[in-house]
Amino acid sequence: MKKIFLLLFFAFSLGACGSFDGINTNPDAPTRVTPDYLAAQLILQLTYSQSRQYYGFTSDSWLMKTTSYEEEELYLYNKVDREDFSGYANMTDAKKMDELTDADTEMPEGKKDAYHGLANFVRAWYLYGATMPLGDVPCSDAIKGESEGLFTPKYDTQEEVFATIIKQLRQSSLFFAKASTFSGDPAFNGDADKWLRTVNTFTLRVLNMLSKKSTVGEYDVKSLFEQVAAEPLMRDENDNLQRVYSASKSDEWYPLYKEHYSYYNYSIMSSFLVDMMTDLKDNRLFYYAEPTPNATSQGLSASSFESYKGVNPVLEYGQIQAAYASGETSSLNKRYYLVPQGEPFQFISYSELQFIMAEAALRGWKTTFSAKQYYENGVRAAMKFTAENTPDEYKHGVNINDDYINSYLQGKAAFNEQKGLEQIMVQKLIGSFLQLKFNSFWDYRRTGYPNIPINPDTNLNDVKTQMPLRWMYPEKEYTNNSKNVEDAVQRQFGGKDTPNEVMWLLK
Amino acid sequence: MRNTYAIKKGRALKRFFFIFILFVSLSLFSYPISSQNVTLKVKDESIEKVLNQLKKQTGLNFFYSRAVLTNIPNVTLDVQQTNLQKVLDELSIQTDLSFQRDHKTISVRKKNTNNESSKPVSRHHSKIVKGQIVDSKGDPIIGASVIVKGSSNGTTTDLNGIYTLSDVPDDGSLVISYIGYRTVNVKASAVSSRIMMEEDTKVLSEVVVTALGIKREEKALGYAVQKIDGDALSIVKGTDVATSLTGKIAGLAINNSSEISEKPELKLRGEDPLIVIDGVAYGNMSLSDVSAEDIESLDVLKGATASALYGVRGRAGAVMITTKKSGKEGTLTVNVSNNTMFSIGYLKMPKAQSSYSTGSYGQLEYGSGYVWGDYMDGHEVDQYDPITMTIKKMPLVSKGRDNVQNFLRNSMVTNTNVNIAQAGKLGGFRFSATQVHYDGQYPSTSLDKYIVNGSGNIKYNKFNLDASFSFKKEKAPNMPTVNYGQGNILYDLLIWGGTEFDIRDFKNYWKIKDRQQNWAFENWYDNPYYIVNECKNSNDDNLFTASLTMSYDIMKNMKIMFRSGYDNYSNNEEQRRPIGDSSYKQGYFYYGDSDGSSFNNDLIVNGNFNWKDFRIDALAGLSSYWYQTKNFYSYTRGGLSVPGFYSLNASVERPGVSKSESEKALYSIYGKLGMSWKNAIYIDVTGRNDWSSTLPSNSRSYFYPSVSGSFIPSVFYNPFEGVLDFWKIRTSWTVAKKDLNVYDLNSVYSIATDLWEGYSTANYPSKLRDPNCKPETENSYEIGTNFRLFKGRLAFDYTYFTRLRSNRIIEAPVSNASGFTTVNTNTRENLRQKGMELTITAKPVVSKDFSWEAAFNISYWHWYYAKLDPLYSSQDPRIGKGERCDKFFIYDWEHDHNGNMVYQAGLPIKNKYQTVMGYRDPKCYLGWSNKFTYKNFDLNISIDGRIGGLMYSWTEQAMWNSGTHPKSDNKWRYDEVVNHKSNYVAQGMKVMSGSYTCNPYGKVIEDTRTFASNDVPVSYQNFIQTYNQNAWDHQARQNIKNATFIKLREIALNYTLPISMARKIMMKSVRFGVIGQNLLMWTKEFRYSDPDRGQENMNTPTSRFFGFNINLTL
Repeated sequence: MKKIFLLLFFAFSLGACGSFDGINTNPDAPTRVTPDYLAAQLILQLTYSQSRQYYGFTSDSWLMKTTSYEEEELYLYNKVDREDFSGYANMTDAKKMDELTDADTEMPEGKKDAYHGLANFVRAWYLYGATMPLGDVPCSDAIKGESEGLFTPKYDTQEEVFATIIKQLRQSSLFFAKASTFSGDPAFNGDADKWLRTVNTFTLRVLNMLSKKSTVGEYDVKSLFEQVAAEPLMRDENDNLQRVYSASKSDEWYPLYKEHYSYYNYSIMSSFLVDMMTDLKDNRLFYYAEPTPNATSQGLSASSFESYKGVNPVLEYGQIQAAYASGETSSLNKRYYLVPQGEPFQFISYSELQFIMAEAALRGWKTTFSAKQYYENGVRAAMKFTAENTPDEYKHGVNINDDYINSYLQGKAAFNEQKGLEQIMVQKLIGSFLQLKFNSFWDYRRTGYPNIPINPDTNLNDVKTQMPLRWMYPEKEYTNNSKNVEDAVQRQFGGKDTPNEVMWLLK
Repeated sequence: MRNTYAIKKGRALKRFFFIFILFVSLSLFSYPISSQNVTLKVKDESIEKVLNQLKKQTGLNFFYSRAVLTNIPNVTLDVQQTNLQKVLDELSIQTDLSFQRDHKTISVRKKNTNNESSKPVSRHHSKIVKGQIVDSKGDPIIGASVIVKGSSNGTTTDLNGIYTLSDVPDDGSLVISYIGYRTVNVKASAVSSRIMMEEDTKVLSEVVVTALGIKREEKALGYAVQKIDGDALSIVKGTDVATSLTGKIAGLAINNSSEISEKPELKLRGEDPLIVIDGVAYGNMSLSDVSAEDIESLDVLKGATASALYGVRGRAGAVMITTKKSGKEGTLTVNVSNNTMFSIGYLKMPKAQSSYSTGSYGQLEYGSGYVWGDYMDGHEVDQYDPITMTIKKMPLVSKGRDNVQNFLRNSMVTNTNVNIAQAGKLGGFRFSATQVHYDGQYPSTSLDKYIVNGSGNIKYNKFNLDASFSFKKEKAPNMPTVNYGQGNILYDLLIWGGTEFDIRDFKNYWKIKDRQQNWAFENWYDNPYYIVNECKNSNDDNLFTASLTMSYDIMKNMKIMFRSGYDNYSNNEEQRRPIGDSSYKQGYFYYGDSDGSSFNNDLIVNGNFNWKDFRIDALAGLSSYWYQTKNFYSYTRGGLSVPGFYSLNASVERPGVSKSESEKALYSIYGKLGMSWKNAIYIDVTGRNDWSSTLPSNSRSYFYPSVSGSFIPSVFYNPFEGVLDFWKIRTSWTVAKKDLNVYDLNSVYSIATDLWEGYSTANYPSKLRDPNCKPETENSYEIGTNFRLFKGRLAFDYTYFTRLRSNRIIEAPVSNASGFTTVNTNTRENLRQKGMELTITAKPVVSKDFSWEAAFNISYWHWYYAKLDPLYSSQDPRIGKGERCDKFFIYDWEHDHNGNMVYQAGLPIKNKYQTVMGYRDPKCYLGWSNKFTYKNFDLNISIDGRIGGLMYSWTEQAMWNSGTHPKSDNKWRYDEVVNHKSNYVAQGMKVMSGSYTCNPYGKVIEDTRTFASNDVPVSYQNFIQTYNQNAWDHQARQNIKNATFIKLREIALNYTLPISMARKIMMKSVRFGVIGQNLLMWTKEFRYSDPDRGQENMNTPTSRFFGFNINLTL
């Protein structure tokens, strides 16, 4: 009898089970992938535009006061919060991509170069993204959690971080220069040459942001800029690093498209932008905005600048709300939420490159063309981009063609070296409407242009008369890496981690 | 060094454990075959079973005709190594049977005064004695045995407690005995007509079910166990039996949700207990899968020691359910019962202001979605007309101040059970079927639950087989969406719907069928009638369980048992969202299937051994546990191709699909050694070794010991004889372990297929997994005492417990710059839990017709940091050793040095650092149940509550933000909307100069502020919407409230028909009455919602149920 019981027990128990390791293996997730899967992940992350997100898409336009919003949001009143270090996780994927590439003995060298080039670019991109809003950030100690068990990375000085960014970008450029086409690239379909141009263009952006510095680590900013400027760069808007949306797939619709973004009709054009564009007689206004409801109901022409008005973005919130309700303000052009593919969202663009070159030329750095030429190229490219992406029915009967652009460039917008820097920044701001996240803010912080309105009565920045200069360090760093973040705050800002401290980059 | 010691200790324990197993194995062969001494412990058992036992133990045959054994009362015996004759004498007293031995046969006969075999002691000087036997309440004791001392002349009392005994010698005496009462000896000459028997509280020791389903006397246990009878759980039968359990067990907190889709949540000392049904720890069965009518008793094993034999699965204690089995031999019992309750109003019905319309800044408009609109004084404005479905000018008045109430409907719960049980000589069978139907508070929401089960047993000589199956089907054709967000009814009606319309005018909810709603608010909210009728969330859950238990008596005192339990669930879920939905504008359909099963096997050998006053119980076993779950779900992408067509085939683009599964196996070996002396000192030692599939191979095996002891001083010394009946002290210690979650060891990539333009992606997880994780350790200690006073009229039971959790497996947050956001690993941060439980039971009134029994309990527990990890613990100085773990951190409003609020431009400002507002966990849990009996009436009242603890009120925050909060209807709002003034000046200060900088922990770095009284007038709406910024701000101090509440959980007034009357209508028993659930509630700060759910997130008003109960036994 006892034997029968034992037998039964084992029959029942073992019938159901296999080996422990077999049981504890997830059948639905792999432990190894090919590098192209990681490449696609990294490129899509890099060009992620917060589609379907509540605030993200338009947040920088609130800070730059080009739009306002029917709901009260912190950036409307310059209240900046804490950053997080969310970008670092991408560097883990970049590292994995490097490792998987090296381990693949079958892969041709050219392809390997492409993946390594991409990994270096990704590291530079996210380090730049981390240091710009903050100052010192972890760099030489970063991404060593798995390999070295290092979970409390020390912070490198901002100069060291920028030196690393430049180094990564130069390596990336070298890799892409000898790379062949690769797979897993939703941006350029594996075209290494376009990546080379992207990397070099981005290098110029980084060096331009360092305009207050003559050297960064071992690098001489001016001479390196001049050197890179002579290498392959973006040739036109087709070389942009951008996310292209599609009408055919619901997951690939433009972020503001009404079918999945219900907040579309809360954006209000700001008088800061509308007045500026009206003053320049900039026809892009008709492509960016709608005439005010009152103008429409009174039968005023949609192709007349008089029909477009913005709300003063620094008014008290109740007054902004009242203006929105009064019908006296323009909203976003309907194309942003009625056209499913919208317009591509730029991360690095050709027109931006032209403005960077114009600024360098203005500064007296050696360039092929003059500041004026670059400026005009930039305006031309930006205008064409907007025109090409606006279907006719949303143009309010106003054209942007070569004739118009030529006349525009001879009008108030004509380049004038005396106020060239301001003009470049104004054009960068207008040209990057709902584009190039926060790029205009970094420029504003560096140059003071364009002159953003500030109202001390509504400004939620601690220093009422100015815009914030930086974000605060992540709260998580204070709970899980406190010594290092406190050291960094001490050495940079004498212990004060506030939005008004001046980081190395701005000194 | 520290580790070496731990390893040594572990080894020593293991060595002991294996020696012990060896001992148990050897003891298999060390018992004598037969003796005339017997050991027997039965309670309320049929005489036939007892005789079978005696036959087994002695080898003697009992000879009787079946007729002799009919109508014989059940017997209770507790004898150890007692002479057979003594046992037979005792049986004779209890049963009115006589036993005559002839060599190897004992013939059993009915005693009969006319029978020649019963010889009177003396023919002379005898008389007839007649009288009544009553208990201390004065109620008759039926079936008490009255016997002439030293003779077989005896009888039992009848239904009225009356006995008549002839041939009683004048100089003789009577022995009156009854189970659970002190035996009375009285001289025949001094017999009064009414004899009162006292309950023997020493004898009455409750038998409870402990781990592995082993029945033990409560007094022998060194840990806290609380038992509740099934009857107490079926007084009021709602949807879930757990609701009736609320407040009845000290240390078991139950969160009852008012949402039809949410089951009550059990937290034993703060954690999820293991649910064990008839000894089987199913992987997928919860308390709500059991019908109240099928529960014989429920025993809660509190703490890790009590459930140490369940290893890792029993770490949080266990709820042991014993189901009803086949009835008494030879009887067929049919029981039919029904509970039906209807809602008579609601607890915590929310209210909204009814003075201002939808809109913003005093203007009616539908786009902004707020309810900060126009003053509703009857002036004409453009409004959406639900009848013509157009905008037209209409007087603006509040037509819908009761919209929420008007939308709700009367809910109803009905719970019906039929069961039938029968037993024969070699076994029995019970079959039970339960149907629960629940109509939710919102129209068209309902739930049907069917539970069918059967159990049977076979007895043949030394072999015993129990088998059972259960099948549950739960069908919910339409479950409402819970919590704040699109699709939630209160979100649409209370928060974002104004009262300028009457919701009942929107019953015709389509403007264009299957495409566009008849509704004013297109973007954000939906017509509630559209939601309940069209946005369906349906579930169809099926659960099958089966168990088999076989046991075989290898020899006297030694048994082998095999128990196997299997469960399998298969759940199906569907969601429909029509085209024109505010969220899924193109429509949506979801289809999900999940199924899984678990398989439990135990092989147990146990035996016991007595020597003088010593007794040893030993047990050894093997067990295996395996489970697997599989989930598959799919959904349409890009909307639905055909309006009103809900299928994956309706997907415009290729449908999305996903699948996941998990699997785990756990093997164990375990043993228990129990020692006792004089039934006064008990020591239990258990050990269990688990092998878990989720751990790495080097730490896969772990040992799990426990020691517990119980000491009953009152056996040896009782200075308060007559007052103190019983006193026990108990203590226990356990090292509990916990393994990893399934697959938490493997670092794998996440794959997304066709994420963009056909490109698929992979990413490395942001959670780093430590490949060398060790099992988590928990040292728990418990000490307790219980005593009974005044012959059981008053009893106390107190437990203090603490446990230290070390080597915890946590998802530790780390600097994101390390490349990972968390690390799944063992932390050196130790946590300690401390808590206590106190139960007081009393019988304040006991009289002939009226009695009152009450039980009160109070308990609490909190977790503290015992040690911090330099790396993985938070470096926030407010998280330190000795501090509680449930601090409620908030971003408070900025204050000046005197505690006044500080405003900037007239508006409040949030701090940039967090402060501690208080604690989340309740201070304590209370339960108080009462039973009043008057003649055949009984009244049960149970009350429970929670005291203290902070809880965020999502409802209030959202009402303030949207503009529907009743308190926002005030003069400032009137001034703003009607008089166009922005004149709200908040009380507090404004900063005149200087600045204020703090580090993230609130430490002031610089503060040069100077203040003046705030005098900046602002818009009231603007102020309130800054103060209550959005519904997700869980840190707005003013809406974090004390969650204290007391609830009148159940009340039941029942009448039991006297047996004589029941018999007249061919019934064994008839019982009926009125019942109620959730009748009253008091809350300290929650005004608009019921915090009983354990969180407040748009909680649906709780139905106040009232109804009827009927219970018939044929």
